[in-house]
Amino acid sequence: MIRISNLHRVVAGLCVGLALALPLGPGLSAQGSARLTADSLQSLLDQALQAFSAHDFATAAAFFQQLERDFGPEPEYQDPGFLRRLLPLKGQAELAANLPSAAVRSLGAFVDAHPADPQHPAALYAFTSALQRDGQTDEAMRRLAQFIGLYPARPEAALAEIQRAEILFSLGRTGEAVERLSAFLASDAPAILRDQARLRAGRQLLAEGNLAAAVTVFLDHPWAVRALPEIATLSFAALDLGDQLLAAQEYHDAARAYRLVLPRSRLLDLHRQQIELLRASLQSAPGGEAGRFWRGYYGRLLQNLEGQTAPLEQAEDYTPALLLRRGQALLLVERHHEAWLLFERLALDESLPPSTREEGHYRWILAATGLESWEEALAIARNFLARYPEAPLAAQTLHLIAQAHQEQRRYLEAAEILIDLLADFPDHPLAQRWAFTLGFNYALLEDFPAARLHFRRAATDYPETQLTANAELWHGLTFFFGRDYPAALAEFDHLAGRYSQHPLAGEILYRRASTLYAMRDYERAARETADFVQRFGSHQRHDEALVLLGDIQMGAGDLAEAVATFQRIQPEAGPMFLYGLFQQGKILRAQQDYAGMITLFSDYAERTDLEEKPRLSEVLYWIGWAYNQQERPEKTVPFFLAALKDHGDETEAAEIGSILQLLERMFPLPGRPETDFTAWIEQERQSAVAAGRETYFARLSLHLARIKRRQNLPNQADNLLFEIAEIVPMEKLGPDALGEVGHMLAGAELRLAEPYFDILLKQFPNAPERAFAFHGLGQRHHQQGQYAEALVWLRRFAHETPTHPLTADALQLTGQTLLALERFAEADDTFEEILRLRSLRGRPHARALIGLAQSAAADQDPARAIAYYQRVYTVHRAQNDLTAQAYFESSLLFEQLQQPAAAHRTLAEMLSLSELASSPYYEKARTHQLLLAPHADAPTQEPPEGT
Amino acid sequence: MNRLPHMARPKTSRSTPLGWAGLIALLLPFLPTALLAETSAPPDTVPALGGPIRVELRDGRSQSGQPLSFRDDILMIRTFLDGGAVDQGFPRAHIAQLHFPGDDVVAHAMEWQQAGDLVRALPYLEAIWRQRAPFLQLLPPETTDLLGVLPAAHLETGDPYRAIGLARTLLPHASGEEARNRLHEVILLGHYELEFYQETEELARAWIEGQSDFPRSALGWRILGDLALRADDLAQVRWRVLQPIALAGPEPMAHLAHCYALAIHAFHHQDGESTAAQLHREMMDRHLSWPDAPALAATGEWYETRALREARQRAARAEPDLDLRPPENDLNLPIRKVRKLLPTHSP
Repeated sequence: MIRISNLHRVVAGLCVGLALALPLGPGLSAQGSARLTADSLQSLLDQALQAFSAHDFATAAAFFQQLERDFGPEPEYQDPGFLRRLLPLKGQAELAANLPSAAVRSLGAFVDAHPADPQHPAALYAFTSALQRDGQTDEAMRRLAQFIGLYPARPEAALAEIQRAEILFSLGRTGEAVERLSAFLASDAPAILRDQARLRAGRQLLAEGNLAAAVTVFLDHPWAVRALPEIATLSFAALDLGDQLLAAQEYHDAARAYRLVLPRSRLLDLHRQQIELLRASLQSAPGGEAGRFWRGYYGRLLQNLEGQTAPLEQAEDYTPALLLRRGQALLLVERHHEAWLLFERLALDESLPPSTREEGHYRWILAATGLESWEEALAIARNFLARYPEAPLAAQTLHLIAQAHQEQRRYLEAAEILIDLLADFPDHPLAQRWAFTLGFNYALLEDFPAARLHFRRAATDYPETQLTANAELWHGLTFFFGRDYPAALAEFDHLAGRYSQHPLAGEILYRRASTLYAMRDYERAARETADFVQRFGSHQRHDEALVLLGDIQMGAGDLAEAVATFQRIQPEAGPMFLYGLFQQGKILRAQQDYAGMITLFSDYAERTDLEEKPRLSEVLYWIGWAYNQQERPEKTVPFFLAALKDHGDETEAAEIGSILQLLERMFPLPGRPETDFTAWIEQERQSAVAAGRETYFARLSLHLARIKRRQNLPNQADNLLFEIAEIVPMEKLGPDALGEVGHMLAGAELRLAEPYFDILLKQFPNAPERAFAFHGLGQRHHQQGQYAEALVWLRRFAHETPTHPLTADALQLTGQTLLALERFAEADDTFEEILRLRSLRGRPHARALIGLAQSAAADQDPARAIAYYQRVYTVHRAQNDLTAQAYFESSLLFEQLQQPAAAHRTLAEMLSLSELASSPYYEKARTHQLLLAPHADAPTQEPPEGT
Repeated sequence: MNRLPHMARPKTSRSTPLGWAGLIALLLPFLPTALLAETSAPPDTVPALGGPIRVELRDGRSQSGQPLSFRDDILMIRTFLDGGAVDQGFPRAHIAQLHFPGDDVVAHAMEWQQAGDLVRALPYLEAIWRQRAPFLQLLPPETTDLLGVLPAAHLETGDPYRAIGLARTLLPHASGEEARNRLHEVILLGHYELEFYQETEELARAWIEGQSDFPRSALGWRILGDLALRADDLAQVRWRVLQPIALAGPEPMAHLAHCYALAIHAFHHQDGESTAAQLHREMMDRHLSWPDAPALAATGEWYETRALREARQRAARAEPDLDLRPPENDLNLPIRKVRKLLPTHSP
């Protein structure tokens, strides 16, 4: 706990009050009246005046009252001139002697009888105080108003305003009081009084727990801190305000309030400076009526400040606690950098008590966690455990370490810590959270049975909390992720009933709909999704559900409904909105509604209500494409050229390649002088380099490389890619160039490929071109014999980009990798999968057959291997290099089967095919055939070919 | 100025070293009003200050004469008598005070300094400097404090070399921490303006080390932030300039606005728009103006014209999907590698 002494209460009690100024009246003497002859009257009067002059008001009041008792009925006493001078003094003495009722009588009699007397203002003001102290608040209010009305220019008028507010506060009429003080704050009263009034209003509001109003008073206007005498009062009030706001979860305002608190050292400096200033002001205050007011005011203020000095100096330093609170407020408003800086200071300040350092250190970890600086969070947390191994916060710290591991996707390490935590602190309040997180980590490791075990424990082994429902949901989700959809559906059905009123109800229903979709039960999926969309309009999955529903409707051929559904997704949904937009485009394209496409995409391009319009280059492409379908190239070309000009150099812009492709087909362009596309693109490349449009240059080069590849000029194509690598910094490449350049470099076994893939994955984590990175990194690991690592990347390829053109290569490489890992059955499955895919017929199939042959050979089954090779050179004769390999390897396997004649015959057949002469196996075959020559005429016993 | 209502002005005095404020009060009515009003006018031509000085000794005697030198703790003056001249030496220990001619020049210098117009103050300050620089060790704190403004004036008029030189000369004679701080600031800013970035960085760090835990100026952090911005290292910009921001209390802090602007700029360009907006609101809340820095101008305009976003929508959080990316490396950093705080001096 953060602890601060109750110093502020001490100081608050010392705040300046509103005591009266006590002016000494003009000369009063009994000698003024010839009839006032009794020595005792004169003697009493003299003693009263003497006591008054000596500020002994109790004695003065006693003498004045005795005078009234003894001589009141006398005509001398009743003389109006005498009373006019006596009563103000008597009243003020009585007031100062704490005899408010008597003072009310004396001063009341005077102020009503002598409104034009020079003493009237002071007496009237004193009268209001007497009334207030006597409990006559209504009359006090009336008289204060009278004073302000009669003497608005006198300095007491400002105090009278404050006093009126004080009375209202005492009557519980806080709203009215604050309203009056607010008006006063806007007046041209002296700043020192306005600040005092503001401070008073703020403290009262704070005392009453009216936080919103206190925030307005304290925080909405700046304080002239260096000119404020009651700086300590302000600091402690602001600290109190910050605490109350923190407790009320008003973190932004809490942070503002704590900022208003001075650290103790600075507070003491300013406090002493204020005392010096007040002393100087007191000495230099002018004489006269106004000067008397200020002297009295400064005197009382000085007295109060001096009274605060000793408690302030002797009190414990609250600064570390203030910084902890301030850091906490900053942490809660997600200003983690500043929180970090404050907590780091506290954690490493050896002059502070260990408890403060420990607290600061723990929160430092939280700040690093908030910044998602996992490596640094780990370092700080480990340092915490090293410093405070026995700290009560050690368990939470270990949890934070586990969290950091989890965020770094080191799930096993996270799981190990969580297992230890659960074993060591089974009854810790966070134990259920740990069990849940353990399950979550196992889920991320795709160890779903273990995950389910811990989710189940989190749900059942602890009292029901908010986390219980999450644990149950995740239990179901593990079935979904493991593609056991019936089991997942059963769980979601159960949870939907159990948690129908729970905050997770929407999530459960959405997951159920997704499961049904995955099970291809489209009818029920559509129903469930529509139901979710209707019931959970503000759920975070709402837009995602609309996408799902639209896709289902699209799949069912309900195109109009699908369009309507996609149209419901608002631009705020970001990527979902764009997905819906392009899905609508797809529908219109399928319907050959090109005008509709133009309208749809033009509307988006011309929108003025969006701060950003992502994927604009794609939109322009589709508009141009639609015009082209309408055979209006004169409309298409400007769109395309504008897209190239405006977006060609943006790394995020997509479809630039498609635009170039279509322009290539359209060449020569209407209204343009260029006739040759290659020449045009070359010219564009030069202009792009000259203009520093490197991204655009890379795209043009990429397209040219594709043309060269089509023209069967692979070396020229590779040269163009090398040129990109040479000229364009990696961070200026779009995903397509990063992918293709990286792919080319990886194919050449160059390590330089890796940073291209790293940037591709970091900058464009969702781009389809990330397939290049998955494949390329798999390839790089494979080349270095790191087969397990290679498999991780190839699995990602299969999982995330299964339809990429590199699929055949990736599957082939996966099979080869599994072979290298001697996981023959899995390798065979992979090659068989290639053979099952009709889209991969041709060379991929041939390569898969070779893979199967290699697998069989490695598995010591040469006959089966030969059979696969034979399929290659009988079915895939067009793949010369693979055919040559298959012949040669078959021959070796026949030898292994002790069938040299068959081996010889196989080679002879191979060497008879002149189209294989360019293969490296051809020469090997020729040499080997010579070795097998003696067996050429041996009787044949081998099975017929094709078995 | 922290002055309460009805505070008396300081007493006036005719002597130069003491009571300048009073002298100003005396002279103020005689100053041409145009001089006070037109701050953009070219600097005045100030005649060189010369003539005899009066040496007031601790035993109450005085001696006037033309100052010659101050060497080996002996002040030499020349007195002209009956067509001849006598050189007299006064040990430093015997001197109570020196009285120089040129009260009006001092008054002008102070006036412009207090008006914040260092360009107009410069020629007056220069004249005082030329007159009294040889006797720096004998000058009272009021004079060295006034001359302490001279380096800043040269910096403002675009002569950082002279500013740095003067500041270094004056440093040993500065009367207190505030005066020393001011000179160090000039040295730091001078190096920055001269684009001696490596030295600037070292000076800024040294300056920061010399600050208290709750500093009154953010200059050092601001300079380090500017340097990080030059190096396009926005992450460093944030860590550097947020330090004074995190500690700033209710008192004014020099260069804090620049630190805010740098922090906002860095967050804005590093996907931290909501933090940038928060900082901008706070900056306005503190009545800090956006600094006049070309590199930050666009960011300033963006936040000044941008409508503040509505409170974040508190929609129900969705459960995350599985993240199947491969694990990151465990670097196991030592604690010193992760520290961000630039340590200050704890008094």
